[in-house]
Amino acid sequence: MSKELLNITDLYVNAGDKEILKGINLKINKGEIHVIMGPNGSGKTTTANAILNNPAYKKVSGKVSFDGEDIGNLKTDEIARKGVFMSFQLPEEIPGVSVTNFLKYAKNKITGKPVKIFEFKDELKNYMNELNMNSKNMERSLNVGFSGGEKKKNEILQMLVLNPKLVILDETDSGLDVDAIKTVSKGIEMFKNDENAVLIITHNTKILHSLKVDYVHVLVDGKIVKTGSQELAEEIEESGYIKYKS
Amino acid sequence: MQEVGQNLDNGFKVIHNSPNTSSVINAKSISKNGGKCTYRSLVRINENAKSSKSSVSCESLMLDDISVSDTIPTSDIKTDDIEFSHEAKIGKISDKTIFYLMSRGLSEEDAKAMIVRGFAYPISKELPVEYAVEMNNLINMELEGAIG
Repeated sequence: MSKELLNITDLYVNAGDKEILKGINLKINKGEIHVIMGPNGSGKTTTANAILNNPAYKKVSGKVSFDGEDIGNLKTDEIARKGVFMSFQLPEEIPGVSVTNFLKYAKNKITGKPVKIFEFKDELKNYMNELNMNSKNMERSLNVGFSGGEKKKNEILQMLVLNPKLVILDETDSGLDVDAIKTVSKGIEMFKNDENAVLIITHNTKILHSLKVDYVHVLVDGKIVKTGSQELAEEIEESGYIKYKS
Repeated sequence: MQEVGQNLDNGFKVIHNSPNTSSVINAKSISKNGGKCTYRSLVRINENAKSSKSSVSCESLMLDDISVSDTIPTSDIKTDDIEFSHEAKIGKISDKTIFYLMSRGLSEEDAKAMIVRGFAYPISKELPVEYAVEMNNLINMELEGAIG
């Protein structure tokens, strides 16, 4: 079995007429944690959306393969069912659909198997406990009236329940207080094993302190300009992106 | 739920004719494929209906860019010392919401049906369970193949 999970080669992506990604290469193996850092507007969120084939972004050229299969032309839901999960920067609100019902439905779609309701509710309660979430939120409409922190924790909850192979965390840590960041790190640690991988997109090195990161990539102006280890993140925290900007 | 060439024109009338009476109108409509939905209502509170309360809320959900929804609420209030409120909301299913649900493994059809069922939930939860099940089935049937 190959250890390779995600392989992006020479990816060019446009948003509208604007060229955003200008030749991204990224390879993620099973068991690894990768971090993408970069200034605002450098294409971090676009990279995440391009992996999931969001129709709002247009792939111009390049290849995205997942688990040895070309996923460049698959629909978002097909990619999700293969095991890619993205935690959104701004999770959407769905009135009238409870967290429990939504996750039960999604889990059924992802696994292709019926979900046993009592077992499932216990599982959900356990995860919510671990994430310091109020279990009353289970019956609330998905993300409706949730605070910023609750929404982000809810994304982590969904990640744990759906148990994907690759998780993309798009600025999940931004706007969170110190305790909530710890909870998110805890969720990632609970999720992580040798068979899956995590891609963290962030501005903030705080979340990296409690995690063992394998690679840090610096994304500037649609290109990965430097790849390094955890020290690279610390260096950027001190001196910023200036020396990578041309 | 309306299709092209259909105009669902419906409405409600409430007349308060005694003191301390109260009324609630809660209307929801869904239009797709260029269907049109018109909502009219009249709330009349007569002189003798002191201390009455009335609240009107209407919400429309549109599944595409070509559907239409009109809201024509009227109120005829002949006394003071009453409470009256009116609220109207019009929404469209956004591509962002659909992308969010699809990233959780739902097909585009599933995603739209889930949003519509959620929209109708405040109504369907008031129905006896047999009717609620029928209503959800109807929503799913209406949305099948609705994605162009």
